[in-house]
Amino acid sequence: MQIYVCIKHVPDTAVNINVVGECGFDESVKFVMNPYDEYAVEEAIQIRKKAGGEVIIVSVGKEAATKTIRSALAVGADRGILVKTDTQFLDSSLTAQALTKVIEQDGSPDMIFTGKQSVDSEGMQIPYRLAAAFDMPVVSDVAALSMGDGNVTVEREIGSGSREVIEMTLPCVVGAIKGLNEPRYANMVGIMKAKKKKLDQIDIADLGLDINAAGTKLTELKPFPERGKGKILQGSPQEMAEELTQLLKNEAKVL
Amino acid sequence: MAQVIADRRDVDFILHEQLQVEELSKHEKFAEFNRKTVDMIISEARNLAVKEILPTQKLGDEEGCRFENGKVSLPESFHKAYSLFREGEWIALCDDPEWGGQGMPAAVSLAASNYFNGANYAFMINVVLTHGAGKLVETFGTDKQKELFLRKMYTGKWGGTMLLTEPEAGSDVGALTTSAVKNADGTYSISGNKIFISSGENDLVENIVHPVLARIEGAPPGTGGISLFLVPKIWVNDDGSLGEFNDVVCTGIEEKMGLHGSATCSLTLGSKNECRGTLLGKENRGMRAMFVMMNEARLLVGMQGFGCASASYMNALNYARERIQGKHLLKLRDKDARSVPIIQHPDVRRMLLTMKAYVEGMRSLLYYVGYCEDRIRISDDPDEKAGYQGLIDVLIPIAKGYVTDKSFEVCNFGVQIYGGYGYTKEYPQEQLLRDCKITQIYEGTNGIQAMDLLGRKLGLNKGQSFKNLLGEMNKTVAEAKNIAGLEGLASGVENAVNKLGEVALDIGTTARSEKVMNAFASACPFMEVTGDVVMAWMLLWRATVAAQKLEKGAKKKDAVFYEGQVRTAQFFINALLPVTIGRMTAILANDGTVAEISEDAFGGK
Repeated sequence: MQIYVCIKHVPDTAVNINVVGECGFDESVKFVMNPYDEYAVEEAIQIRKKAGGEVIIVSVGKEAATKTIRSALAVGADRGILVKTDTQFLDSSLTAQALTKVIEQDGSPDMIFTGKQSVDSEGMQIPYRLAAAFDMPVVSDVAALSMGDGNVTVEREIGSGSREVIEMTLPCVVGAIKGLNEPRYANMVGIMKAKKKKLDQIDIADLGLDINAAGTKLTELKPFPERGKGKILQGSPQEMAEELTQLLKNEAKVL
Repeated sequence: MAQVIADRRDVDFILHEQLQVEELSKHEKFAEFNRKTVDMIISEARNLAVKEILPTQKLGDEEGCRFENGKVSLPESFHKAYSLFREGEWIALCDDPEWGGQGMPAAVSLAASNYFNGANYAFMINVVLTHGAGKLVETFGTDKQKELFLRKMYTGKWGGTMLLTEPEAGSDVGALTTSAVKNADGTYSISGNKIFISSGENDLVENIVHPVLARIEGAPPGTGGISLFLVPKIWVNDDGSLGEFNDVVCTGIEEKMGLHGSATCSLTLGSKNECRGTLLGKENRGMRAMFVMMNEARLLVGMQGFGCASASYMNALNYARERIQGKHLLKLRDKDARSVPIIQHPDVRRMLLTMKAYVEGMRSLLYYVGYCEDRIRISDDPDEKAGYQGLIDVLIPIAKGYVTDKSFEVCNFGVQIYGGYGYTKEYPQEQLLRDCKITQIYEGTNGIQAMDLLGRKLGLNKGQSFKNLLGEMNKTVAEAKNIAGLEGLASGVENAVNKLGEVALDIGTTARSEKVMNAFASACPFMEVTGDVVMAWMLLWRATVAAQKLEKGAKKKDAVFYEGQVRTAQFFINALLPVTIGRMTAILANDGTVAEISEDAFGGK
């Protein structure tokens, strides 16, 4: 089995994002592996353990993303490839094209894993775009998976606790969500081995892609609006009740 | 995002900028530990500590340990954390890879240990005692003993402890009465009672290996007649398989002020005459073996106390930034002024800065001791090795005694900053204070640490080791004097170092005179002032590194951190160090009251 896992290096969801300029942010905050991708990596490693083969980590991002790729190598992936760009927010179409090209150049996938979405740009398109490019079946929001002979059965979360059970033929694309498995922690031996594993870097321009040819364009990042200041009414209870009624009528327009 | 347990920027600052541990990787012994690897190790240690160990802290405190029919159950949540810790191979970080260790520099392992112990050291006790017992086997064991026990201990399959204390033999180890009688097959029959045994019985592991201090029948009294034995809970057959229960019975566990997640056991050995052990090391040399392990054990206890302080500071800082209460002092009369985060109030700032100064100074000290060990490991020069060993020996009572004393003070501020909430169980601060307390008591009380500093370490190598320590401080002073803006701080530290030299000479002389009681009455104050000057040295060293980086121009976020370093040194040296100078003056005055006051004059009769 040749299993490709597409991961993204993203800011930790718990950090405060400070917007810098129009479309940038202060990138000195802590970055982590996109949380959904952790389940993708873990699943790939578990499948390789049973079926043999190779787990290849692929990412599109700035050079700092090598850190996140290494952390995937530390939990057991075999090698990594980074498609280097100079932006954190590459449009989904270009990202998928870059991933497709680099995977095609590298080998022939039996399975491609992704997270269901990235937590920073939240395009939610990569699994589908990859499936279209490779002409493979695809299911995202996968919370359970079992391998069959030449096929795979997955359970897809469809909301309110319900799941669809779907059988797909291999090769296929799977978008992982929380609950698919319990991602492991790196052990010391894994950490020590990780730095010796192969990690190739390819510039996105060398794949023949023009990053200015994106179909969508990010025009502005805006900080989340601060919550308005509360208003404390003063006066006797009657005065306050009257003022409140006025406010509800005229300002909030709910009466 | 607010950080927990320890400030990662500060951890990285010590490793990479103050101590420059990457230099160690130039030596073949540490060749694998370049900066990237070190960063990855710390990231993964922090990840495991924050996600899996920290959540067990409160759970372990509330659930505690249960004793039933000779069996001890540890808090439920510890089991998963323990198996993750084992799988991660975090137990024997610096040890020989041949036996399952990782061969890591000690300075780096202490940074990982900072996160683990700060997350929940009651849990970590199970791990660190296993490691300590394993180290005894590695150092003193026969090939057979190593083969039977060591790998299983370093990988956490089996646990380990240390059986030293008895009801009548605590600080006075020489009074112990556990006996050993040699059998025809070369084993020894052991019988006696041991108390205060952490992890003496637990349900994390299938077997527990107890190193036991006991006296062989007919051996001389006192410490010179004590031998060390390896006594497994379940006998281990020659082929490594488990045999019969070895008559090591847990008779109860202590109800304690804190550290509820750790089982403090009473053990009875050989009540049915069926407890056997094998000699570890040579007959009557048990205490000597203990001394070999003492530095590591004491440094570790320093880290346990410090872990509480480090976590308490992070919590208090986060809380003070978020907790809105009271108007700004300059706007008290402005009725429209809004309440501000309490970090804006002067007294809260004073407490936070005091915590910051001690936490950062102590973190540097602990990692530095590890760094000295690393320098010994990569040096081929016997003089250099001896020099670093002398520094370690002098610093150990500071790293245990002083560090745990100040850690308790830091945890106390940590409660205070939360106000009434700090006293409730809703927040972690009161637990950290309770848990921290025992570190001042066990592994040699801090009174004993102070006696060790005054009685043994001050005169070590004819006083040269202590002088070398002052010499290291003066090197930092000399460097700081050449840095614009630090001249005043440098001379403040220089003044304190010189005065410490004077105090050391004076108290050392008194300790050898008929006024020996006077000198030892000041042993603790002497340890405190020595520790304070070590703090001042570490903070000045940090400020020196930071000021140079600022001079070269640093990124905004780094610049704020570096400015914080210079400010912290400034606060400690200008606001706290003068108190130390006063304490030194008091020691020099050599007042004899403590030794002279009659017992009756204490009153209360």
